[in-house]
Amino acid sequence: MRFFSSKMRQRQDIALAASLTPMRQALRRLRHNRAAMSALIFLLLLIAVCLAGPWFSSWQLDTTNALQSRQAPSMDHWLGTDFLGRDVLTRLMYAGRISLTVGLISVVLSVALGFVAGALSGYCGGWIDSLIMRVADLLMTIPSLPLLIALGALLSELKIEPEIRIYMVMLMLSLIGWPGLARMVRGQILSLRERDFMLATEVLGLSLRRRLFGHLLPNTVPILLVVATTGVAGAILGEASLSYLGLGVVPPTPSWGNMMDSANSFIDFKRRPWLWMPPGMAIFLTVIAINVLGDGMRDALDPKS
Amino acid sequence: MLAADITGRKFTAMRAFVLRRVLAAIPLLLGASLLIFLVFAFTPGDFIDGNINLTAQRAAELKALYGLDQPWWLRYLHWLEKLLHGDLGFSMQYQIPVTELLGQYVFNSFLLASVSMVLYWGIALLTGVLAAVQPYSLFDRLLTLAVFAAMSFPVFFLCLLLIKWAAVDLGWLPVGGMLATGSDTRGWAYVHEVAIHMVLPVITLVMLQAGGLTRYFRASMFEALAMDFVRTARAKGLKERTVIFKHALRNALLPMIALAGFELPALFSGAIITEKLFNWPGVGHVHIDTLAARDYPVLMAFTLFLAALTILGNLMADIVYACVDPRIRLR
Repeated sequence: MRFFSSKMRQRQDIALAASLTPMRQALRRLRHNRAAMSALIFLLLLIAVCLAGPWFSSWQLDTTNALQSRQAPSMDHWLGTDFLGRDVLTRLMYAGRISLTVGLISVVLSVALGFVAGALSGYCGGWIDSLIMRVADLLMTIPSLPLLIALGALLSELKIEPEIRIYMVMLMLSLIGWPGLARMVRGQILSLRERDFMLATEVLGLSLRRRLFGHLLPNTVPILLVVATTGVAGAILGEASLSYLGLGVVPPTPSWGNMMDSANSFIDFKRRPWLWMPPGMAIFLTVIAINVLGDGMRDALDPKS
Repeated sequence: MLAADITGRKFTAMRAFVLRRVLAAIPLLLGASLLIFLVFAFTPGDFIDGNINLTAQRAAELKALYGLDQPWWLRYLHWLEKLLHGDLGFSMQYQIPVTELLGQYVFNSFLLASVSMVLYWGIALLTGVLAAVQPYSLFDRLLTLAVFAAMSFPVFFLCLLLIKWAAVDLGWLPVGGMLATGSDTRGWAYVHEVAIHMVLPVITLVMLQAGGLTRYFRASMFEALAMDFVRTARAKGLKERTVIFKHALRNALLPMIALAGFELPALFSGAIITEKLFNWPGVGHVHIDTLAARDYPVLMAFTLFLAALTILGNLMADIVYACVDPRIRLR
């Protein structure tokens, strides 16, 4: 009996797979990838803690307390307090909101830019293609960290308000990110254009709009999703480095990168690791989870490898 | 006769290909120089504004002296003209020409980068190939985990952890720098001292870079092993070792040439954050220090230097690739 049922399930599986769209098949494969699912759950938990955590904290983001500065972790302050007596855990959660938002939004921006530029370039060809690709080449010529550092210095010199500066940092990171994406989308379009299904849309006499938006562009989405996911990890690392150097998100707005600035004081570095280790671990764990998830997505979308 | 003819034709095509690539690199370099110039030219404030001891009159005199009072395009052309004569500018902070400044520090960066590069290419090659030969084995899984961990470390956090554990808490290795303070060692003692100071920064760089590279090697080798010619080689009854190292590996190494080209700038540019945190006297460290002092001539020259190395690295990778792989069409 068991033999039959398992055999039947297998047959059902095959029938199901045949009836599902490629995207749904990929999702099924992703759900069966334990590492990727754990990473996803971890990320969702992290986001939930950063969003909801501050409501349950008995401390405020900017409440200073001179009498309780630089305290070691205790029952009151789980991760201790900083030099102004602010609760480190509360700041860590607020910083998480900022760091995650900067990572996400900058990637959404660079994906939008890269997608439009790559699609225009790949589909139109000719001088539009040359122009866009030369601009992308140019931006990719200058190594990203020195360029980010120069732009960060520009922001500091312009004396931009810390609140507005966050948005500028997002823009900077997307400026670095879009050329690679545009190149990839262009390459995808050039190769997809030659495939049989695109020929079929032409033979069927579909309108240009349907061929483009109904068939060509949707096929670039899966790979774009994978690259965007790992892109978020890159953007979070970029923001952290920049903020650590004092050129990204600046105090009083907390970010995981600028919280680690306390490691620049040797006494804090040596004696008070609770000031700089938690934000470092937060960045590390977030980035590793995103990378594992991205890798799982790549596997799910490309069953050949 | 025929063979010689084909070789000759191939040589001509190759020369045209190289020439075309070199010519295409020139506008790219010019564009990069303009972009870099504009970023710094439109950054308000400069080295002179930062000095509060100057009177307004003296500041204006100095600005005129350095040509900072001219319109931006005139300054750009002037800068470009000097660049073409091999003059990278004059450091306002160090009061020496930028070329001299670069010359003083670039060797230290090169030393650190070259040692780490040999190590991480070696490690990545070895582990990547081993993982590809036995995919989904325990070794492969553990390696994947290690690779993800290494790829996900923020540079500065890794540096800080290493300094904290190995240098501050355990006291095994120096905290930073290239020599102990006031050291006047010579000969082998000097080499030994520098080597000890290099351990931690080299570990940092190797950990950061080996991860991604291992994945490339694994993927490339994995792909090569799935090729038909590998099956043919096995069917011929060749030893597995010969199949893997002589047939598959050689093909798997081809795509790595492009990656090696990207490494050229890293070899001389200095690992900015690593050098800064370990207080290593390299160009990356100077880069950050001059930023604080708004010493723009140095920053502009360094950034352009990096861009030029990137273009050169890509160019070299293209040419080497075309030479090595006869399947590449010379377009």
